[in-house]
Amino acid sequence: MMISCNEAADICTKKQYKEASLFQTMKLRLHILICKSCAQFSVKNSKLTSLCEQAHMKVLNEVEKESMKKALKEKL
Amino acid sequence: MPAHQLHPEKWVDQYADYLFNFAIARVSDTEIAKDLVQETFFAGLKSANNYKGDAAERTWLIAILKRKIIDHYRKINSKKGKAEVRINYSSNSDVEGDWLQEQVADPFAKSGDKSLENEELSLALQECIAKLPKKQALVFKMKTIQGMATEDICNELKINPSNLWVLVHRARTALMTCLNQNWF
Repeated sequence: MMISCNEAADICTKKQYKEASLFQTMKLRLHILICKSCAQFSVKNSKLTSLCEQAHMKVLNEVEKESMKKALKEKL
Repeated sequence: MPAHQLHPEKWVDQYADYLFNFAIARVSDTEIAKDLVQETFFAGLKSANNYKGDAAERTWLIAILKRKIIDHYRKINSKKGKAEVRINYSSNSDVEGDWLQEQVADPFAKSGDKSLENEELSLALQECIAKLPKKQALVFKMKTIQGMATEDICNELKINPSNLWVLVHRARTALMTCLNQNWF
């Protein structure tokens, strides 16, 4: 049941994308109880997730970028 | 030698997303925003000789984009019927109760503040993402912003899942440090 900090960090990041299993989440919870720095990291990680959601960021996809690059190159 | 130089071949990778978000916040249409970014790059290329190197590349491009946005609004305004001048309390004057009282801003609504803050946040994030190594930035964007499935990203980039998670993890850690002063 005991996991290393590295593993905890890995699970924590997966959890941000809802891709950690229930068992993994339990292991993480247990680890956070005894490890202060991982607890801190976990809080920060969740905060980053909520910031990303809040920002409503948009990105151009690769295809759009490629066509932009091409158009730019022609004028270069 | 000037403090800054232009590298047009890197513009799309470095600034396209940043400029895109800046434009979207102002024209609220992705297609128009995309066109504006493209026009900005063209205009930048055209007037590259006038670049003195005082401002950073991005600041300079943003300045051009601002002009483009103003031009865009001028254009759509001139298309509208000029002869017709209507003054109303509200644009939908058929609605009952066309009173000023109902048009007063809700003092409890903070939507303006909020959207301004969100835009700042979005640009700050975009700035930090631009500082990441290229591969990390790419994976982070695909995963977080485009919300792609792990499997799809792995297939597209030809990496294995554990590789992907390492990249995502590093990107997130770097972003936390980058955003630290202002947003945590």
